[in-house]
Amino acid sequence: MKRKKPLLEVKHVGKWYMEEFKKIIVIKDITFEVKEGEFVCLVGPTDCGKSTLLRIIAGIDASTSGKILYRGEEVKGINLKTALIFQTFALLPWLTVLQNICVGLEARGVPYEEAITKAEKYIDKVGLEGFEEAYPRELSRGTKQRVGLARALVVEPELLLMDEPFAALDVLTAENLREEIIDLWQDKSLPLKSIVMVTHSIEEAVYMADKIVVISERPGKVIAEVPVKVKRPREKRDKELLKITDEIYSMIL
Amino acid sequence: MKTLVKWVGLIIFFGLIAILVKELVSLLSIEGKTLPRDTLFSFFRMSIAYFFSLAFAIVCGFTAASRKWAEKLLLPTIDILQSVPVVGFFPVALLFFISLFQGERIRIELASIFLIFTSQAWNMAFGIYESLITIPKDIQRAAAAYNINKWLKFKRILFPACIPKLIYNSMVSWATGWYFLMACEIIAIGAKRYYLPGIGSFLFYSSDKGRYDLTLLAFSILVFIIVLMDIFLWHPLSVWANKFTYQMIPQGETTPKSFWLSSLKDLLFSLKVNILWIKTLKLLEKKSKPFRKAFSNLKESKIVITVSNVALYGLYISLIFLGIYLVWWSLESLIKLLSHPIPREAKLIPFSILVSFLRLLIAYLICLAWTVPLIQILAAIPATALFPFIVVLVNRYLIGGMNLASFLIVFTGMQWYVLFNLIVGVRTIPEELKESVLAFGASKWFYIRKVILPASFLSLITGSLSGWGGAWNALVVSEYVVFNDKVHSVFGIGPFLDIATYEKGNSLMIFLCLASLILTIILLNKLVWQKLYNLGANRFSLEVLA
Repeated sequence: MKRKKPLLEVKHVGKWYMEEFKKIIVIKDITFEVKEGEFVCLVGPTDCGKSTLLRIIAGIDASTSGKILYRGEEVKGINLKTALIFQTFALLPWLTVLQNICVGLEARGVPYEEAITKAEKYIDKVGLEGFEEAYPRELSRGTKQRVGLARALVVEPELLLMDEPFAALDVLTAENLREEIIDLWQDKSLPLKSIVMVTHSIEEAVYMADKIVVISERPGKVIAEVPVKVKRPREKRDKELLKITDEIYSMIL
Repeated sequence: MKTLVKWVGLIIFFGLIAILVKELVSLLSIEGKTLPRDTLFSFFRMSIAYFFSLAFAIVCGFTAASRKWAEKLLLPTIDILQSVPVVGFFPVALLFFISLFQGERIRIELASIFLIFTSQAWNMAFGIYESLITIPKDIQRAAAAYNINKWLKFKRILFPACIPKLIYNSMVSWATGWYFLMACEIIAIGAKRYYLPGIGSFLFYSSDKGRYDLTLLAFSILVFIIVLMDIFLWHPLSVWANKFTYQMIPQGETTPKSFWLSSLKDLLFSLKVNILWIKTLKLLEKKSKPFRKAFSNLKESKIVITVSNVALYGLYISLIFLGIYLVWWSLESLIKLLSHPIPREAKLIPFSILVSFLRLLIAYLICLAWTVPLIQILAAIPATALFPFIVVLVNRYLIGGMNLASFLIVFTGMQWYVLFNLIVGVRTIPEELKESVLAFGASKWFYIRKVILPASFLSLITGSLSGWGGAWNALVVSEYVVFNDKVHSVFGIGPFLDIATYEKGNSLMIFLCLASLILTIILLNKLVWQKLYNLGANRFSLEVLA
């Protein structure tokens, strides 16, 4: 039987720009793949270009070398099968929660009325009932990120891209949201297949991911790909997880 | 390959400039030989006015930011002064300077500098005030906690906080200064007109006589100077000023997309202008160390403190006397004025204001119509680089009919306030906010409607407010133009004011025109712009993001 094509292939992707006649290399020759149903974390020190890489995968930033394949085909421009979640939530302050969630659908030409019906399902899934008419400034950080999550899920992506989604949240809120995202990812009723998450927290990556791609300091290169084969639900203090955590620490430090 | 193309392009560009300069020089030798001298005169006049504006802005800005009563008194006053047309300051300038000084040239020269000052000072004062009141609370608390003295606080916290807005506003002030130079270098006393040697009066005089070629030449020189100043002064300074911003929102790298822009930028860096500047500043800092030390020792000695305190009180007292004198003097002149019979045509003033208002409204709408869709491209261009382009537009009025012409001038007068403010607004939108919508594959129009427009709403209102101020100002220049020895004018408040100032010297008429104009402007500000701003302040503010 022919081997199934991976969902996403990142092939020799590099990015540089010129500043004051100096060539600044952000990432250099990064290659890895994301299988269908896989949860991949990108970890690395600050400024290693992991966020840039995520934006290149989403298609809002262009690479200067290499290519991105999605289901075996090269992607140019924005990949409509992906959706992004941001560290700063990036909600539009002049729109209500409901309007914010509908923005993605509207951007793709879905009429507002239709978008609302679709949004309701995800408002329910993410636990935002009763917040529909609130404005972002009235929400707590955790709730804001829930809105960000609903906004991403409502366009029914196959690949969810998350850029430090828990970094601006307090510890307890982050913990709850992590569980919920894992649940949503495992929910077979959603079209969501895989997740790529950028984080600087090795513990978080080890706890959540199936595979961890470790990236070096700028210019970012892949140092290692570490599989995490522990069954879910996982226990934070699981010996195997702690061992992998130490292993990755020793690679970066 | 790409770099090669870039360099060839640059060589061609400079070749063209060289040819242009050669042509200019040959023209210069015949009729425009006073031009270099005139330009220099204008430049000095502008510089002097600028330094006065700077001093005024610092004093006013700091006083308003630190004292409640001053805030209540100064801000509305500056707000009103900002919207008084340059021509409106004529009577004040003349009467005041003529009563103070002897000698024709020096009086007129000072009056002219004062007029340039009136076109430069106000926005700078506002800039300083705004920077001071927006210093983050944490930093103010830290300063209080460490109990640092006033001088150190000024040197290390207050003044540095003002630098970014000060430099930005200086750019705007120079731009407006150049724009109104024409009105500032021609001084009318009664029905008599004085042309001060300068590039502004040269422009006026040559277009007055229908010498289109000379006007064009003077314009080119003006544009050339503005571009030079931008490259060698404003650009390096604004790069340096970035150091002093309290950046609350993380910003992504902004890479300019335009080919010419990036080539120019590369060239700029290859000239090492920035590095040169920073080196000079550092060297100055090092060399001046012993002096500064001596100075700070001196500052602490008792005698100096006493003397400076006495001097300060002396200054305050003389300022108070000067204020009382000014109030007395203006009351006296006002009473004298009002004892004259009111001229018949005064009845037409309200209607003429209405006509002018409609003209401004149309200009404003057109201004919005073209800037808003293009705003993203425009935001990538350094602001003052747009000025030459705008000047060229102004130049067009020499060709078109009068209605179109006055319209174009008003339009350009309004244009760049709106534009500059919008640019600043768009630049401060956080990267992630833009990406959040773009990542859904949104169309350009959708993106502008949902992100760019709401995010820059407040900047748009601020820009519109000053834009209308500038436009009322430009109105007076534009509704009444002398060209080829003929008067071209359209109905509006502008000609009323112009005829009263330049032809009849009728002080009462000037006063009535100005009073009704100022009243209209204040009403518009209070009823329209401030209402809109308050409405939007809650909803469209980006501060609540984090």
